[in-house]
Amino acid sequence: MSDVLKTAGEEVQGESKIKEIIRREIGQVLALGSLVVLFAFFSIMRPVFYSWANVSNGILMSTTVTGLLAIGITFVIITGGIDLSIGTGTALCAIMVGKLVVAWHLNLAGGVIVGVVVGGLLGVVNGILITLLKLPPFIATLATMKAAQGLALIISQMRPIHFADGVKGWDQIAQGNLIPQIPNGVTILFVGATIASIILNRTVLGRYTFAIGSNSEATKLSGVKVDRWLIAIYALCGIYVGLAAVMLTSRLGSAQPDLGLGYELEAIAAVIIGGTSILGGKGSIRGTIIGALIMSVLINGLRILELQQEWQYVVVGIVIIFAVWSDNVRRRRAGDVS
Amino acid sequence: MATAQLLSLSGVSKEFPGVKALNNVHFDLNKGEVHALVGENGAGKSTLMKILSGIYKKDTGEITYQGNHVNVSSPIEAHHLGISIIHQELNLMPHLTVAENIFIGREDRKKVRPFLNKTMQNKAAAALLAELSLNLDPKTLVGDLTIAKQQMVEIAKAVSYRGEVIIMDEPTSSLTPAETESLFAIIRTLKAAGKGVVYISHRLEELEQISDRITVIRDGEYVKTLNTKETNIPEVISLMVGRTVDQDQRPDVRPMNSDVVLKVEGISTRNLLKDVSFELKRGEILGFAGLMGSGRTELARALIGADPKTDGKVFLKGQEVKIKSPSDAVEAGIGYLSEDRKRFGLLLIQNVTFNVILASIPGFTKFGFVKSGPAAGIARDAIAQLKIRTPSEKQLVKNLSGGNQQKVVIAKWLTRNCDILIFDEPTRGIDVGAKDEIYKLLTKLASEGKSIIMISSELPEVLRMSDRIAVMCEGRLTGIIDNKDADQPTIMQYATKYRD
Amino acid sequence: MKNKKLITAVVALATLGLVASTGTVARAADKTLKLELISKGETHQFWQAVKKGAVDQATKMNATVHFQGPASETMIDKQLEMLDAAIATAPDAIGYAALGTTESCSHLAAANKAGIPVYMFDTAAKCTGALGTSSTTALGVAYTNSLAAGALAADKMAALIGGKGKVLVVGHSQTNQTGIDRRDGFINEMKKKFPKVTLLPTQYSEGGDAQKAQDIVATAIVANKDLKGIYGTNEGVSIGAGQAFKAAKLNLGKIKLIGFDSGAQQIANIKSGLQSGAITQNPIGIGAKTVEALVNYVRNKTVPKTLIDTGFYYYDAKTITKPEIAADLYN
Repeated sequence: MSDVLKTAGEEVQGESKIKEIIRREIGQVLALGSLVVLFAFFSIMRPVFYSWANVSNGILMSTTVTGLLAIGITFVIITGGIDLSIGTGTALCAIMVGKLVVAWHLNLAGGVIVGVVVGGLLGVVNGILITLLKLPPFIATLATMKAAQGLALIISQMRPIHFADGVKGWDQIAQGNLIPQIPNGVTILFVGATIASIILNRTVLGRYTFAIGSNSEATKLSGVKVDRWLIAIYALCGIYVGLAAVMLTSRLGSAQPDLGLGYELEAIAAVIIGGTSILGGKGSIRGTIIGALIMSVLINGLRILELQQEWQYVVVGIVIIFAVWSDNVRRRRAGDVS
Repeated sequence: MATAQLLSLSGVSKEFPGVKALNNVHFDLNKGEVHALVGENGAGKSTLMKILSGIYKKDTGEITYQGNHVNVSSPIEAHHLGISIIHQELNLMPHLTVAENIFIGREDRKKVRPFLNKTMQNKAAAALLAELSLNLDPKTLVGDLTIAKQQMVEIAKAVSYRGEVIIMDEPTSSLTPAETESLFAIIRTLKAAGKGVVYISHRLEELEQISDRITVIRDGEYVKTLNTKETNIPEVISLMVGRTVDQDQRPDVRPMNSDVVLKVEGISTRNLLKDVSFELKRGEILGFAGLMGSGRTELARALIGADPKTDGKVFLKGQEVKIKSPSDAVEAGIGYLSEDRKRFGLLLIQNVTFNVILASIPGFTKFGFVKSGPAAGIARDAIAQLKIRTPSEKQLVKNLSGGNQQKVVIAKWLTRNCDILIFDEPTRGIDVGAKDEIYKLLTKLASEGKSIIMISSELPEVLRMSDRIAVMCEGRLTGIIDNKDADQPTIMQYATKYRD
Repeated sequence: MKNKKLITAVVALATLGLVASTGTVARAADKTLKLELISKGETHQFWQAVKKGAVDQATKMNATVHFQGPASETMIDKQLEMLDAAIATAPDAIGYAALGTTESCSHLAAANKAGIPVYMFDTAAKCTGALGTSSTTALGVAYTNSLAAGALAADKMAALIGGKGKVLVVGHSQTNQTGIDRRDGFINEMKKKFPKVTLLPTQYSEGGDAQKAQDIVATAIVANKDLKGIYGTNEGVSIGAGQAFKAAKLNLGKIKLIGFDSGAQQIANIKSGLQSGAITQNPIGIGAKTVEALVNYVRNKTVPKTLIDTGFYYYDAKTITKPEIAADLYN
């Protein structure tokens, strides 16, 4: 009898399916709840907040770049790793895109491919440093973060690259409306999130992402070529960095060599608020998107209320603490963490 | 023997969400007594001791200590009262010296704050070690000591609190017989000084030697307290599991197929293994016996490519195979089940299905997409076949008991169709009752044609299960004995061949 | 930090000894002078223009310039390390653009102790005592009067919006002295001269992050339907504001935008009418005047002026091609 498990989990059996899902996804349900509460709060305080103009241009568009970065780094964080290079990597990709699009007169597709390839390569470099040289992810990506920053400055000769009028339709990547009323940037963010979610939940790569984050040693002993998969995962993160860079250049109409430092922390904050465990093994793209939206709604709302900027920072800090703390409390109650 | 009561717990209950961990448990301890606490894993031993040492709070019940009611609300308070606990996992800092470890958190800084008075501290530690007849230099780094010596440091640390009660949780699990003997000597010293020792152990043979009384708990309930002199191991076991278990079994003679499945030739590693060769037959259970550090786990890891070999060849059914990484081994159909399942075998925070398919995910995919239906189906089949006790295949593995976790690891390799299974301590941390099931499972697998290498430090287990027994010592294979010729003394002889 | 200061002092003393032993009289008139210029950054084109002015002037006067600055204008300690390192190489003179307006005082005093003349550019350090030959801080400063420049922007803005309506200031730093002066110059002038102009609470895009500026302006446009004007205190902010107008598909000129400095994108925006105009400083002049003052002082003992205002201009689509303005614009 002592061998039979007796845990909270056992009670799940008797419950209905919906209740089970809510229980399992409680972190996301809570995060979504907070998002709704925040949205309602700001809407009541200033109705202009929920106007479509603000929702699309003020909230959703401001989520696109950090949102794409956050999607990419979600994979890395689920493996139990970290990628600090995504911020300055965005700058490097943006500059490469700018250089090649302006110098080679690449078309839209060519520019996007350049961004994705450069980002992917940066990810491969991170992956190799982490697996072959066995550097801790924090150190490896701290190094590539610095290197990317330097390369962006060197390649750009420290000048922003203006996409001028020579690059037709570049601004349409983010600002156009393939779907009426919805800026393309927002469409791309959600399509990118959907694809990422499918990769994470349905594919071999996704399974191994969770497996490595849960226990990389056990995964390796189970015959999985952990090193190769890690390189692939960092490369995937890099591809999203490349997409974010394309988005950034399209939004700004230029590639700025010194832009991006600090974006990695905003992305990480979104991932954490979205309930992904910094220890690895747990997480979701849906949570990350909710986390990124919570950040945007909060900052946009505080701007709409014209709260002094200094206080905006403080409020964001408090929200991060609250989000992670409440998640911890919930997990401890559920007997999820010891 | 002094009979003055030092400590008593009565009617202690403790409930965790969904689990009644302890229900109305009694336990008492006299001065100068060693009182053993036994029970299967999950019976509540650790919970009881954690309550006593202030880590958990009890829901109900009373603790009387030296005649007073006390409420041990924190580990610090336990220390103040004079209750020390030595945990199963050592809590030492490898980069600090013996003296620093003993006095950590209590450094005497009164005189020359904020600097530590190392000389004084070393002197105090030396005096303490001498008192316990421990031959240790206080200035040695703990990381440079053997596990056994580290255990001694833990004991010295516990004694240094000058408490009256010392709780030892599985203190001998990583000690050799000789080391165990010196531990017992220390315990006798403590006894003579009038201390009370609570002794938790799975090695029931030890209790006869060291304990005065034995308290058995089962499923969080108090069962019985016995005088050691008036009982025997079978009685204790039957009280623990609630039925009788035969301790000294030998395997049924199975019709042995003579096909050699695996042939290992001259495996050596940089640090330990020297020229190890053996053969494994189809349907055979080949036991590997030896002392801690004799190189059995290292052999397994080198064989599957987890650690590099400096020399040696591996043949599978006559064909040489190059195994450079665990993925090569899995490809060749060799599955390794580590002694440390939580670290090397399982994804604890994932569910049963995920763990069962972990080694065979590509087999459950189409165009890179994982087919979740068949995966869950395989997991349900495994649950049924191996009798894994879990509410469903969606249960997280960390919520399963040790025995069921082990079955999940076995299911993982069966799903991968591995023909050769290397079990490293297959029943470590598994209850007496559940052990039996694992044994039956191993026998069944062998009779179905799987070949099994079973590394075990428990000689009765090796004797009970193995068709042949390979014995290792200091990185070398010292002998392979047929079961019918094997007994404990013979095995120990081979196991200590190169030892002084 | 303390250690750093100690090392600085030791290095400075050692340098002093070296200078004394080799003799300060080493005929400064003939040899090529070695100058160290520590700027606030290298990445913005503004600093590139300063560098160009300095290098060109140095070539004319038989001197060499080593020009460097930290990666971002928030890295005060990085810049101070560069300053310390420059002092340690015992150059003939140092030019310094103060990021840490008070933090740099002890470092500058060390240079003074080592006998290295310092002239500041762009932004002066705020230390005790007046500037000049007897100062332990610096001989003087070649700078843009940012308060006055901000005030000029306010005058132009008021003219564009007819002296009334809502205006938003988007700053690029809450701590950088230039950023503060450009903001305060604008706000004070508006309050004093144009009471009918309503100033919304100032928002900041730290470090001049164009994307953040874009998000700030996008929000402001939605929240204030009657917004008349935006003033951005640097190039990045101006670019972001322009992009926000584009994204919101505003009619050209519906909201007036006055920015700072130049750069290809900002110039294009001004030409197209997306942006009304901008204030440009004279970065080439700042570099040149700094070098000129230092070389003349070391070589000829000519005491430079303690304040050299290198000037600034407002330019828009019409005046952008004027020679005196075009010379200060960069792409």
